[in-house]
Parts: sequence; structure tokens; C-alpha cells
Amino acid sequence: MGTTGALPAQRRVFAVAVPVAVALVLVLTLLLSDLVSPEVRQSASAAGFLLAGLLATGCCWWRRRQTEGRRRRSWTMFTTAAVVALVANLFAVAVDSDPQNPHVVGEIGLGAALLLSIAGLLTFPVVRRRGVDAVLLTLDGLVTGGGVLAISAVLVYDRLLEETSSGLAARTSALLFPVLDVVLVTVALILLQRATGRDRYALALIACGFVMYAVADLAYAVLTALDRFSFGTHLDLGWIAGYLLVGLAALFPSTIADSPPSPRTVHGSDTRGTVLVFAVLVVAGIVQVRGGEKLHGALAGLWLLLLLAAAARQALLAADNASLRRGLERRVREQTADLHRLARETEVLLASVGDGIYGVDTEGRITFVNPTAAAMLGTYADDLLGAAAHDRFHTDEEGGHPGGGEGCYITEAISTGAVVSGVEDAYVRADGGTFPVEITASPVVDEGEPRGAVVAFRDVTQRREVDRMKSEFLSVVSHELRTPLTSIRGSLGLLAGGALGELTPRAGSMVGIAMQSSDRLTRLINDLLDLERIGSGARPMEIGSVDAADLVHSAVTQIDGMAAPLGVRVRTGECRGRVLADEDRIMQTLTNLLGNAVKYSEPGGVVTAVAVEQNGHVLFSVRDQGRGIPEDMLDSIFERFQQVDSSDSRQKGGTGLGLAISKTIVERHGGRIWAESDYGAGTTVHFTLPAVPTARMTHDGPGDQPTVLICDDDGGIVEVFSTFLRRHGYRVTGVTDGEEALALARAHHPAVVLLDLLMPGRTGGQVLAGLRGDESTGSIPVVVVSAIGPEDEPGLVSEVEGWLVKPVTEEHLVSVVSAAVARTRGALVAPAVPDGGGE
Amino acid sequence: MSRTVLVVDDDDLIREVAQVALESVSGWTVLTADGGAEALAVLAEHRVDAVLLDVMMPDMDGLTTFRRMQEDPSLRDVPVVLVTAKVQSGPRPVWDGLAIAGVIPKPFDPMTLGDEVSAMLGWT
Repeated sequence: MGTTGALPAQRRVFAVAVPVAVALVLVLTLLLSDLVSPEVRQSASAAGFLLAGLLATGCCWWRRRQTEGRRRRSWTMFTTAAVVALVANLFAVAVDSDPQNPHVVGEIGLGAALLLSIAGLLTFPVVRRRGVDAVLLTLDGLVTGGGVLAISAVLVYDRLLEETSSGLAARTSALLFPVLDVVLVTVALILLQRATGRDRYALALIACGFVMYAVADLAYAVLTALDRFSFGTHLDLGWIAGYLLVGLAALFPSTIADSPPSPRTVHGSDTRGTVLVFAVLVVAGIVQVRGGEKLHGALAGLWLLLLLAAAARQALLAADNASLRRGLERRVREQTADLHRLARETEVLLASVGDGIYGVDTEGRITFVNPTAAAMLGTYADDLLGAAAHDRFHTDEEGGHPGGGEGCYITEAISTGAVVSGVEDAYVRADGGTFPVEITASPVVDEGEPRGAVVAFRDVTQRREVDRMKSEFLSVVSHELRTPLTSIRGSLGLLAGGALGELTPRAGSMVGIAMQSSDRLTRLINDLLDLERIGSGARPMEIGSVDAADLVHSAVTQIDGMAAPLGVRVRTGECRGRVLADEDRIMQTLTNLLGNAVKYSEPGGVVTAVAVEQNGHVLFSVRDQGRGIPEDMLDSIFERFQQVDSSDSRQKGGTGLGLAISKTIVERHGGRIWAESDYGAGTTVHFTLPAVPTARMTHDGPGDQPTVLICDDDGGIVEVFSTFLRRHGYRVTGVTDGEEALALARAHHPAVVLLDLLMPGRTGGQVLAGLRGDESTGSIPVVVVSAIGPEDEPGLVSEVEGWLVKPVTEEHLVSVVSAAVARTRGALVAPAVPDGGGE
Repeated sequence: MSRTVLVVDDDDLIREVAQVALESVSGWTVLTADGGAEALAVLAEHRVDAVLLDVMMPDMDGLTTFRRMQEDPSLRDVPVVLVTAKVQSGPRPVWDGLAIAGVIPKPFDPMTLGDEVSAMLGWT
């Protein structure tokens, strides 16, 4: 296998080889001039032959090693041809062959070399032809070759035939060689015309080489016939230059991978082919006329053949073009049909979508309505087309977007070029009724020009109904369970309290059991509802900045009353830091953890509560010296109704929900809760809460500008976005933590919140839910800025006012933010639980 | 000092328990009503020191009853304590901002009910 020569290295070699070849030719030109003695000239010519022949052989051999496949075969043949020709020439010199009567071995060698060269050329890979092209190529070859033959016939053969005196072998070889030369040149020319890429330059050099060779051969043949040939003249330069050019062609830089020829159609070369063919014909014609020879037998036949071939060629070309055109027309028809089918598919698709979709132009006129939209609106698509969307869809009724195009999501989408989603609106049916919808309005942009907008809307009546039913169910369950419990607990309390007279000791103890059970049932109901509400977000966290030490102290004070009778001491350790938390909820968590710790402590045990600030969090820990928790239960104790000992709920008075509630609360704060235990020696429950950042806030800019709250865990991005927005006159507040963002949004009511989605702790989705769940922040527009696109979080798209995918340009950021600032959300979500709304 | 209070609840069992508790534990005089309408009727005839009002009742609920009392000049100054099974519901209690004296969650402890009410109203 050959090595792959690097292209630059090949270029350097070629750049050296060209001047060397030129210099060699120049030196020989001087040496072969008449000023030099014939002996020296002959020696110089012989040396030139040998050198050029060896160079050509070497170069062809080298190129052969560099290539593969058909190309390698071609170069093998060229190499062999060069060797054979060289040997034949040397042989002729060695036997001192008489040009008039050449030695047959030398002649056969030269003939073989020519044939090998032709074969090599024909093996050379060029664009593969389909049937008609192959015939055309053959006809082209026939006409070109015939033309050259005709020229040679007029110029050379007549005289050759007249002058050649000697025997059959001499005549044959004298006639054969020029013919072979002509064929060789013709093949090289045609190949040149059909070649692609770098091959073309190499083939051009080869063609030039063979032309030189052929011209020298023809001249030789004529001179020999005239008996005027002598070795050591400028004529020898023809052969020598031929060898050198073939050598240069071999050196021409190319790579193996350079050319599997591309099977492209070569109609550009049809013109070139026609020009070449007819140029040869015209030249042949001129030579024929100028030569003044009469058209005798063979030559007339040749001309007839030539003209027929040329005519056939043109006819074939015309037919081929016609069929090509028909093929093109057929393809156009097929593609048009494809387009129709595609359009039909799109239409069916739009008709089948469950959401209503309509399109408007830049004037706000409806240009398209899908059947679902028409059905939802209780009308026909035709009645809507052309109508003004703003008048048709907006309503001043409750929950509706007020009429007119100002601040409307359609206008918004068209003017900002950004997708406006999650807008709530109420649409009017043809019968006058309204229904709540959720909108996504997307701008339609064609080649950079706004063409209008497409609006998709979804009837959210059912979703609203489900939400309402869920909270109503919770409300009813709570009421219905507590009502009978109230009278049970009340009666038992009165009995046990002795308000209705003394009970016997046994009766008193039974009433006591019943009372304890009813208390437990009450706690269970409270905890279950609590868990449900906190988990579902029906009761949003009211996050504020709270001192960790205050929280711990209050909780310890509360639990002291329960601990003292059990002989357990509750101790407060070191407490530092401020947290962003819902004070009541964290108190609930702390008293729950402390209560557990006390319950599971032996008399005389110590329970310790500490709070430590670390890495933007405050770590709370409640440690007891109780019996501990087995390793395999450390995670499951945070699940509902999971207690280490199933009798605990009765003995210790717990519901089995306390830790589940604590976990839910902590996680809703963006924290983490876990337990560590040394079984038999005590348990520590840890949880983290986000710490109030110290100097992270950056308020500046003029006071009347809208404030943008940026929340991204990457401080660098916060910095960059702040710079961008301040440059456009916004006030900016940047935070790197979701909980912080929620607290600040409640405190400052920014005009827009820019929210990253993928953040440690509280994710952007949770922050969004927190914002939306609070009346005071629910209507603040939120723009998501994330590495992930809306398609990865389809559930969020309708909840936010914009979506930017990182990386974000300054221009894009500012345009989306300004659009969001201008936005007023269609309707505020009503409070989740219609409390006191009657039974 | 003996007090007269009105207990309003649609559940007669709860009414009875509350009445027994306040009468036998606190020694108060207890009037009862099974709904808002009856409560207003009782209030029109009797002077009471306080009203213990259930929130969720059919027909006229507690809050409506409370508002009706506010509209009546003679009843405006009668203190109202809500007794409700819905303490923890909703993002924000519906009685927020109303001039009520206090809220007692159900189930209540009958032995301390009177004390709780006294504490809310500043009775000694």
C-alpha cells in the first residue's frame, strides 16, 4: 500500500520540479543548436532521452504508489509504457537502428508503449456516463479523432505514402505510429474535457506531453520518409518534453481521497464538447481545402463518416435534451403534487388539533381559523375570516381582555416578535356566552418581515372547575369531619372534666381513653389537611427574613412545657444567621422535631437545638439522646405514617404525619431535611433553609424606572444581565437563589422577574409556582431565561410571559423585558378556596 | 359575674355541648340559635354580652350574620367570637380585617371554652 503524500509537501515537490524541467529543456535547446558539433548534439540528445525517460518512469512509479483503485492501474500502465518506450529507444540506439529500416523489436516496443498509454488513459477514472452520454462520448471521439486523422491525412500521409520506398514493415510502422499517436492525442483531449477536479490539470499535462510526442513522431515519420532525419536536432526535444510533461503530470499534487468523481450531470461540458468537435472539423475542412487535394476514395469515406458522426452527435444531443426536459417537467409535476399533498396534510393537521387556532394579519384581521376554534366559538370559520380579531375576541366582561389593540397579546406578539403565552382571557361565543381561555400568541415572521400572528387558545373551563372542586372538597371534608368531632370531644370533655358530676374511676378512665382518641383523630385530620395544602401549594409560604435564633428560642419555649413533665431538658445551642422563611411554618417544623425528640427521650435526657450558617444556608439541627433510628429507616421516617414502631402513634400520641409535613415545608422553602442516627444513642434531624444574603442586592438607577428582578444561580449571568438592563434605564435587583427571589418579589413588586429554571435548591418552576400562588406577586410578569427551551418544559410555557434560551443577546433581552413590562395579565387568578362561600 | 351569651350553630349537638359547657363550667346564661336568621331574631329580643358564631351554616352563614349585625346600630357593639371548623383553610382567612373579637377552632375543649372567650373579650 502506498503512503498518503501530504498535499502541501506534494506542492513543494511540484514547485521544484517545474523549473527543473524547464531548465532541462532550455539546456538541451542550447546544446542541440547548430553551433554545437553533431557528435555532442547526438550525445546530448541521447542523454536527454535517457534522463527524461527515467524521470518520467520514476515520477509515474511514485504517483502509482500514492494512489489506489482505477487511478493506480492507470499510473501502473503509464509507468510500464515509459519503461517500455525507454528500453525500446535504448535498444534502437544500441543496435544503431537505421531510421529507414528500423529494427522490428524497437518498433514493437514503441508500439506497445503507445498502446499502453492509450489503455492507461482509458482506465483513468472520470465521471461515469449513462447510456446516451457514453454514445455521445464515442461519437465525439470519432469526430475529433477522424478530424485529426483527416488533417494528418492531408498534411502527412499523402507524402508518407508517396515517399516511403522501403518494404512492408517500414511502411506499416511509418503509417501505424502516426495513427496511434493521433488516437492517443484524441483520447487525451476527450478525457481532458470529461475530467473533474484536480485530475483535469494532470490530464492537461499528460495531453500536452502526448501532443508533443505525437508531433515529434509525425515529423519523424515524414522526415524519415524523405530520408532527411538525423538524430540530435531540436526535433528530439519533442519526445524529451513529452516525457517530462508526463513526469510533471505524475508529480501534480493530488490526494487519494481527492476524486471519486462526482456523478454530476455534465451539461456545461456539452457546449465545450460541441465547440471542440466543430473546431476540429472546421480546421480539418480548412486544411482539406487549402491542401488542394482532391477527395479520393479513402479520404472521401473518412469525410462522409465524419459528417455522419457529427450529425448523429447533434441529433442525439437534441433528443437527449428533449428527454431531459420531459424528465424535468415530470419532476416539477411530481413536486407540485407533493406540495399539494403537504398543504392538505397541514390543513388536516390544523383541523384535527384540539386547541383553537386562528391567524391574524398585521392589521389584526383574521386570516385563518381552524374548525376547532370555530366550533368552540359556536360559529363557522367563514363568518370569522376578515373580521377584526380585537373586536371579535375581546370582551369587557369579567376575566376578559378589554377591547382594542392596546396592550393586547396579539399586538404584543406582532410588535415585539416574541411569543406571548399563558395569557388568560375570556372569549365570547356566538350566543353571547363567555368561556375562560388560555392563550399562546406567536408572531408570524416571513423572511424577517412581520406578517401577523397566530393565536392558539384552549378552553380552561374544566381545569378551573377541577381546581375549584379540589379545594372545595378539602374544605368540605375539613368541615364535615370536624363537626361531629366537636360534639364528641365536647361531650367527653364535659364528662371527663367532672362538669356533669363525678364519674366512677373506671368510667373516668374509659372517658379519658375516648377523649385521647378523639384528640388524636383531630390532630390526624389537621395534619392530613395541612400536608395536602402545603404540598399542593394551596397555602403559599409567606416568606420573610427571620432570625434563626428567634425561631429556635420560640420553639424551645413552646416545647418546654411538654418536656418538663417527662423529665427531659431542652437546650438551645449556638444559633446564628437569618433565614428566608415562613415563620409560622418553620415554627411548626421546629416544634414538631423538638416534640419528637422529647417524646423519644428517656427521663433525664437532653435535647439540643442549634442553627449554624454555612454556604448560603442555615443548618438547623435537633439532637436527642433517645433510642435512635435503625439505619434502614432513616429515609422512610419522612414518609406518611412511617414510624419506627407501629405502636408509637398510640403511645407517643403522634399522627405519623409530622415528619412528612416537616419535609414538605422544608422542601417548599428550597431546603433539605434528613436524619442521622447512632442506633441506641440518639438521633439528629437536620434541615437547611436559605440564608438571607448579605450584600447581594444591588439597587440603583433612577427611581421611576421599572425594576427587574433577576434570579439565576450563576452570579456571572446576573452581573451581565444587570449591566445590559441598566444600560437601558432599568432598575435591577439580582439574586442567585429562588427563595430570595420570592421574598424580594413580595417586598418590592418588581415589574418583571427574569427566572432561571435549573437552579439548585428551589428550581425556577417552584419559584414560579410560589409567585403565582401569592396574590401580591401572582400578576408579576415572569420571563424564563434558561439553557433549556420551552419544548423541554411544555407545562411552564403557558405560565410565563416570555422565554429566552441562553445564550441571550443584549438586544433580545431588552426587547423581551420591555414587552413583559408593558404586559398586564389578562385576569388575576381568584383565591383558590372560596372560603365562607356558603354551604 | 354572670354573663349572657348567644351560641349560634346549625349542628344541635354542638349547640347542646357548648350550652352545657358554658352553663355548668362558666355559670353563664346561654341562649341558642340554629342559624343566622334565628340569631338575629333572638338578638332583637334579648340583650347579650357576646355571640359565639359558627361560620359555615346553611341559609345565612356566619359572616353574613356578622355583617347584618354590623349594619344594625343596636347590635354593632355586641362582640362576636367565631367558632369554626375551617380554621386552616384558604390562603387567607375570610374574616381577615373584620371587627371580630376572636376565632376558636373546632373541636373546642368544653372545660376551657368559657375561659377562652373571657380572655378574648377581656372579661375578668
